Formats: sequence, structure tokens, C-alpha cells
Amino acid sequence: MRRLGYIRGTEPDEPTKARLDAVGSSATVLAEPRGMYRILPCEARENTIVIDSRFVIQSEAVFRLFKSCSHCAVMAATIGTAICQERDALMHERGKYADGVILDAVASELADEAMARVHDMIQKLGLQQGFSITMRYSPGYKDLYLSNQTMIDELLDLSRIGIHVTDSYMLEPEKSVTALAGWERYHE
Amino acid sequence: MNRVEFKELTARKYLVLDGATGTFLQQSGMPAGVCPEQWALENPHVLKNIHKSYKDAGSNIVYTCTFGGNRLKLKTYGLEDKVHEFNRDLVKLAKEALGDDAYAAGSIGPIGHFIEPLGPLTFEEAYDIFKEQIQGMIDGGADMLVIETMIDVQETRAALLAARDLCDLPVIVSLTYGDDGRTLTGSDPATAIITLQSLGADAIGTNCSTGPDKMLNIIKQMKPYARIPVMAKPNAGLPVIKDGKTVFNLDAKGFAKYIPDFMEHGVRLMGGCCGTSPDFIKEISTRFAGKTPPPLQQGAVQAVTSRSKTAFFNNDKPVLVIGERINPTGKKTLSAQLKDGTLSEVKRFAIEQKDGGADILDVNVGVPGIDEKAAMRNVLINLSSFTDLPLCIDSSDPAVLEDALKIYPGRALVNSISAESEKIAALAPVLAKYNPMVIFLPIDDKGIPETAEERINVIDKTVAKLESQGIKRDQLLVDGLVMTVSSAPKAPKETLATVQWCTENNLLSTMGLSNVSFGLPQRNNVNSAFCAMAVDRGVSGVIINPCHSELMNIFYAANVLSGRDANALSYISSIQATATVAQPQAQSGTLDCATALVQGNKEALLEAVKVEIEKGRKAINIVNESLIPGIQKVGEKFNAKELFLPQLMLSTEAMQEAFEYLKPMMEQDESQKVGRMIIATVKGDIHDIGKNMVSLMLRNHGIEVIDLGKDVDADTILEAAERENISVIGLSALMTTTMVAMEEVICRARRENKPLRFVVGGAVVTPEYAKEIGADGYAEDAVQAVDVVKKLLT
Repeated sequence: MRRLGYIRGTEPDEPTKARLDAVGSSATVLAEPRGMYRILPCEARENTIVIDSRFVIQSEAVFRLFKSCSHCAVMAATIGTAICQERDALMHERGKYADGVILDAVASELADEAMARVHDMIQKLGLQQGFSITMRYSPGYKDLYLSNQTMIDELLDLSRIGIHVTDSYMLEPEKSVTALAGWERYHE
Repeated sequence: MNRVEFKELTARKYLVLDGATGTFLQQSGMPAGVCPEQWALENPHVLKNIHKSYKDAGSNIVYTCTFGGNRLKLKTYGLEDKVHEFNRDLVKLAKEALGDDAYAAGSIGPIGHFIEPLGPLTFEEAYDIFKEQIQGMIDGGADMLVIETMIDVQETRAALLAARDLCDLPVIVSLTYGDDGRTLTGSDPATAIITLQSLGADAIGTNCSTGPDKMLNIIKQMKPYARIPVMAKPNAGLPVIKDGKTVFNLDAKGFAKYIPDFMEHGVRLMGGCCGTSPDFIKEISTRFAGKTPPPLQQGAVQAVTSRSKTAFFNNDKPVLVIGERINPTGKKTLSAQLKDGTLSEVKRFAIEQKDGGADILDVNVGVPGIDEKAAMRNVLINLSSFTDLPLCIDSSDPAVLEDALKIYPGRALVNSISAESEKIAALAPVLAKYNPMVIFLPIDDKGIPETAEERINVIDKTVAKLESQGIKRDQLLVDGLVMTVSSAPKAPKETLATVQWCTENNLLSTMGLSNVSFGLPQRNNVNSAFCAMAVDRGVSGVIINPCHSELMNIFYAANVLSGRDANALSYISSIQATATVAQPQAQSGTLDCATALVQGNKEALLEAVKVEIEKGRKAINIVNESLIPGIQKVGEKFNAKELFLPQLMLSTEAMQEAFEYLKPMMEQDESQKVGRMIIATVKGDIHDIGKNMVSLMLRNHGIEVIDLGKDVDADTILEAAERENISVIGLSALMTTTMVAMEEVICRARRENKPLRFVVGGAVVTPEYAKEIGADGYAEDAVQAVDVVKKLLT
């Protein structure tokens, strides 16, 4: 809803709701959600996080999050290409602009949801092993620069779920997300 | 010990398992970060003491210290070539410590990676990893195996199958459930027990993650379906932090209070997990001593499962609906998609059938010339994570069925086996191994028997034959064999008589209804009536198209009337579901252009425009006096948050259509154009939805937009401007890394003294940034972009 401009107490009217539902269900059919993760040891000190003794991230924001973490969950999720192809067809070939715009918003939401599922799974995994997990942080937010996508690609081999990192650090398919979250031990 | 011996042992005796090993090792000096398997082998006296202390406390079964001894887990320590050696030696060590007083159960834990589509491993890779580990345990002389702390049913299946293929040792299966009462990948206890018991587990239960009180709830959910012994290994309550250390909140006495409850709810193997010690085990041993467990429940569980849901065949409950639509016969798009591996049609049919009321989905991928095994695998792997409905694997090829049964993450329904000797020879061993529910067609080598009597004869003979090959009578759903009534008028009676006989003789039955009405008009009427008659005769599942609401209405009503829908609950909820689907009607009547446009009502707008033209109004006047003011009004309402993005786009759609209609009548009058411009998403950026919206809005206001697309470099933009004699350029970028490319375009233009004006926008672009890079304008959204561009054009 937020992605379509409905903020704070605003609600779509009935016909729009029906349209959102229809496009939403076509989106679930088109989405091909896939996700992956790795849990690696990490060390955080002075605005620097070293993952697996090899990869270095400079970021004050991530450091604050990771201060007392011993492990880093590196995660990626995508919903595939079909949904964006359909959106483009709606926008460019069929003149269905409203449906295209809605589908785009739903697709972004689904990609986030896919990532949330990965995050949730890792949270449960962590709990079983005595770790609590931090919120997730994606390249592009605050000072965690987009260029970190390359490192995530090296750590995960994103091609295994069909994600490619472009020279300008974009993810293809467009509706893909990567993120980091910290594991903090809470009991033995 | 073999499986039969285990069965006999658990029938006469409660068995005590052991307690925690990992925490015990740490207390005995194992440092953090080492490989526990390796450390235990290097310090054999420590491990032996732990095993021995549990034996002395009364454990009948002690788990070996091999939990993480698989190739992938050992690889993290660089020890992946030690799998066989570690498992063999750790089992030997346990056997030495225990002597003849307790059994050594080879402990198998999760691999640490999920099986596709949830993770990177194929089912076969997981199977091989387990097989390697289990072989080591067998060579070490393990008395039994325990697959424990599992978080995913599919991974558990792989381990269980590996064990079954290698040996006749008893296998205990133990899963871990979260606070929501499900495993990490969503299985509830009932579904998990039905799936794994049918695949040949010898005992099943749960360990870890909760204390005894919550674990009792899990056990209670398993009890009605358990036909094998149930086991439990709870933690010592909940973890709490005391003096900076984690301790569990129950001591041995507190833990002991729950033991009688576990016994009452059918647990006959019990031990402890995290936080428990020999003291806890002693309590269990004391309470188990001298007691004999009640006999196991008899009677088959007639149900199929997905990863997260079970569908029960039950004559007191509504008949199950098996959705027939995922079948390429007569479906062009689906056939093409199955061939190239796309799944959107399959998923659409899955959603529609579930919404229509399906309980199980039949999956048939039999397109001529297709690699059926690969196609079935692709559909099953993906569909089983897309829908929670159990699936029915529909193929006439035994090899396809075998592969499908291997990788399906639940207990499937198979469609089908017949009495033909060749079919039985090929399929019986597969069905005996995987133990699915099976649709049985009473067709023998002589063909389709005409009368019910002949069919019953075939059923009688074949059921006995199948039972001798390990396929149980209660796994079968007899197909009544539906013929077309228009060519065989008496056939439906024979089908119904066959179904009735099955009901009277305690056999499940099913039928593929739609065949009956071939060649008749209004087939739905015939199908609906036949369906109601079948429900009345006691059919267990019907194979139909649940998207036909008339058929489904009769189906639900028939369930009520035949006493299978207590309090008409299913009927009532089906009626409520259809009531909410009723479509909201759009307002009609003739509207004026502006109103239709603000409403985003395409049809009404076109109508209104045509009326105006008929009245003799000039096309250009309609655009300038009605449409453009209309879309301006839409823009104002959007700015005032009275209209939102979807509505803005609907109005845009309507406007475009009206434009297209009016265009041929306006071409002569070029002078009315507001102006021309170029728009592009800059180099490196692949996002263009925002730019597309902007160019649509601009066009609606009569501006001619040359859209260069996305990922466009500075050269292309500047060359196009020169060639097309353009003075205004719109640039868009979504990301911080790509917005710098906007600066490059503008700098180049300024350096080369081009008389160009730039407007920029995009999610991360701010007015300040626009100013900084020398842009002439900044627009926050598509509506604002129109005003800015209009100003730049004049």
C-alpha cells in the first residue's frame, strides 16, 4: 500500500481494492521466489566488520548493529524475471498502466517478503543454537554502500538462484534483495 | 537389532533414552569452536564416561556422539574425508562403554543445508550425504539409528530412505518444533508423523527446543495417528540467564513431574535434551520401571500429506475433492509451458482449484514427446512449496511415479495402478517401498470389465495379490471406472454399484466424474447429478473440476444430505465464500469526459468522446478543453492525496485510449503540440517504472515524448537530442550509484555548450542534488514533472 502512495489512514476505494486483489493474485502466480544464505564468523571493530576473516565492510551503521555479534548471516532473495516481464508487457504493449504500476509494487513487496522469510528462517535457526539475530541491513542503506553487492556475490555465488550483479552494483532480476544480519549469542 | 526385534521390544517395555551430550562434553573440557566428533575421539575416556553415566542412570538406548558427522558439517573443519572413520569409531566407542547393558543408537543430525527448492541441495545429494554417514555407523556396529533434531520433513525423508536402503536397523525419527507448533519448514506434528510413519520409521517423536510442558502439546497432536512407538526428549525447561550463564529452569524433580503425562499420551521412549543430565534420566528410569506399555493403536491412517497439511479419507467427513485441472489434455498454454519448464499456468490452476474447494491436486504432465520424468520433478518440487495442498501424482509410467515418490515431500496419492499383470510387476515394489495412497483401477489383462460384478471380482483377486507384495488394502482407493453415458446408458449404474460395494466392504473409492457427460449438452448438469449420487453411495474422493461452482454447490449439498457434513459446516462456509466473490458493479450511464477521466473509467470516457464527436465538436477541442483539464484535475487530486497511484494510472490509461481514438482526426493540426522532449533512465540503471509513469503523464498533457528506455549512456542521449532537435531532456535514476550518471550527461552538455535544459528525478534524487549537478528542474513525481517540463518548454 505504502508503495502505491497510501499512507497513514488512507485506504483504496472498492474498485481499486478489487483491482489490487486481481493483480496481486496474478503476481503470486508469476513469482518464482528463491532464497539463499550463509552463516559466517565475523568480527566487528571500529566501524569495520570482517566476515570470514576475508571480507571487510566499512560501515558505521552496520558496525553499530553488529557490535556484539560473532556471526554474520549473509542472505539473498529474488522472485525471478517473469513478474517484471509481465509488468513491462502491461506497460508497453497492452496499455494497462494501472495494472503495471500495481504489479511493480506487489513485486517489490514480494521480494521483500521472500527476504523476510529467509530472515525469519535464520532467526529460528539461530534460536535453536542459542543465538538471537539482529534486524537485517541491505546494501544501499545509509553507509552500507551498494558496492558491497560484489562481496555478497562472492560469498554466496548468487548465480545459483539466478541473480547477477551488474557493473553498477544493480541486481538482476530487478526484484531481488540482499542483506546482512548479525548473530549474537544469548546462551550456551 | 533388527526392525522386528525392536517392534517386539517396544511392545513389552518402556525404554529410557539418554540426556544431553554436547553440554556434558563442554563441562568436561571441550573448548568452543572445535569439531565435537574429532575432540571426542581424541579424548575417548571423556565420551566413554558420559555414555557410561547415562547407562548407569538407567538408559536403555544411548545416542552416539555423531550428530554433526556428515560430509558438509565436517567440511567446515576441513575433515570431510573423515566421515566414515569418525562415525565408525564413535559408534565403536559407545558400544565399548555400554557393553550389553544398553543399545547404541547412531545419531544423525541435520546437514545444515536445505533441499531444493528451499535450498541448494538436490534430494539425491542429501540422500548420499546421509548414506555415507550411516554406512560408517553400520560398520561400527550400531544397534539402531536415530535421525534427530530435524527441522525439515524432506531432509528427514532423505535420511530415512538412505537408512532403509542400506540396512534393516530400526530407525527412530525425531523432529524439532518451534513455538508455533511447526517445524522450521512448516510441518505440524500430525502431518510429520503420517508422512514419516508411512515411509517406514520404527519410532517417531520430538526433541529439543522446548521444555516438557510445551512438548506435551506436540505429543498430544501425534497420538491419534501414531501406529508406531512415540518418543520424547524435552529440554530441562526454558533457558534463563543466571550470573551471566545460561541455565534451564527445571531440575530433575521438576522435570519428573511431567513423566506420567508423557506416558499417558502414548510416549514409550523418553529421555532428555539440552540441560538434562543423568539425574533426569534416573527419574525417567524410576517411573518406567516395572510398567508395561498399552498396545499400539491399530487401523490404518488413510490420509495423504503435503509438507504442511494432511487430507484424511474419512467416511464420516466430507468427500475429498481431487482437482483434475493440472492436466495438459486439451490445454495449449499448459502443454507448451510444461515443455519449456515454465510454471505460471500450473500455479494458476493450483490457486483456482484451491479457491474452488480442492483438497488434493492431481498433477499430470503427459504431453506427447516430453521428458515426463523431468517435467514431473520440476512441477512437484516447485508446486509442493507453492501450495499447501497434498498432491496426486498422475502418470502411467512406473519410472515417472518412482522418481516422483522419491522427491515428493509428503505422503502422496498415486494415480494409478491396475490389475494388469505388467503394471503390478513394475509398480508393486515401488509402492511397497514408499507406501503412498494409491488409486486402483479394476482393469485386468482382459480389459475393462463391464458390470459391477465383474469389477468386484477383479478387485477381490487383485487386492489379495497386492497384499502379498506389501501393498495394504487400506492404501487403496478403488476407481469406480466412469464410462460415457451417451454411448453406454447403463454404465453409470455399474460404476455406482462398484462404489457402493467398496463402501460396504470397507474399501475407499474414487471416480473421475467428468467422463460421464461426454457428448451431452450442459455437461455440468449431468456431472453434478452424478456427483451427488456418488456421494450418496459413499465415495471417498471425487476427481472433478472444482472451479465449476454449480457442481461444487451440489457437491456440498450432497455431503450434508448424506450425513457427511456435520452441522453443514462445509456447506455454509462454501456459500459464504461465494457470496464475497460477488463483483462490485461499475457505475454506468453516460458521463461527461472530465468525470469519466477522473473516475478512470475507460469505457465511459470513450463513449463520452464519441458522443462529443457526433455532436460535431472538433477533436482538438475535446483534448484541450475536456481531456487536459480533466487530467489536470486528476493531478490535483493526486497531489491532495484524494487519488492514489493506481487511480492516477487508470485515468492515464483511459486518457491514452481516448487519445488513440482522436489521433487520426487531429494529425493535420500539429501546431497545437505543447512541445517535444527526450526522456531516459541513465547508464547503469535498469529501473524504469518511474520514468515510464512520467512519460505517460507528459504525453497526456500533449507533450511529445521520445523515450530512449533504460541503461542509456550520455552519448546516446546527446546524439538523440541533436538529431531530433530537442531542447528539454528528462533523466531518471533510482540508485545512489547510478544517479552520478545524470551528472555526467549534464556536464557533457554544458562542456560542449549545448543549449539543453535538464529535468531530473528518481527515488534517491533530491532538489539539492539536482541543483548541485546543474539541472534546470527537479520533479518529485509524475504529476510535478508535467508542470516542470511545461515551464522548461516555454
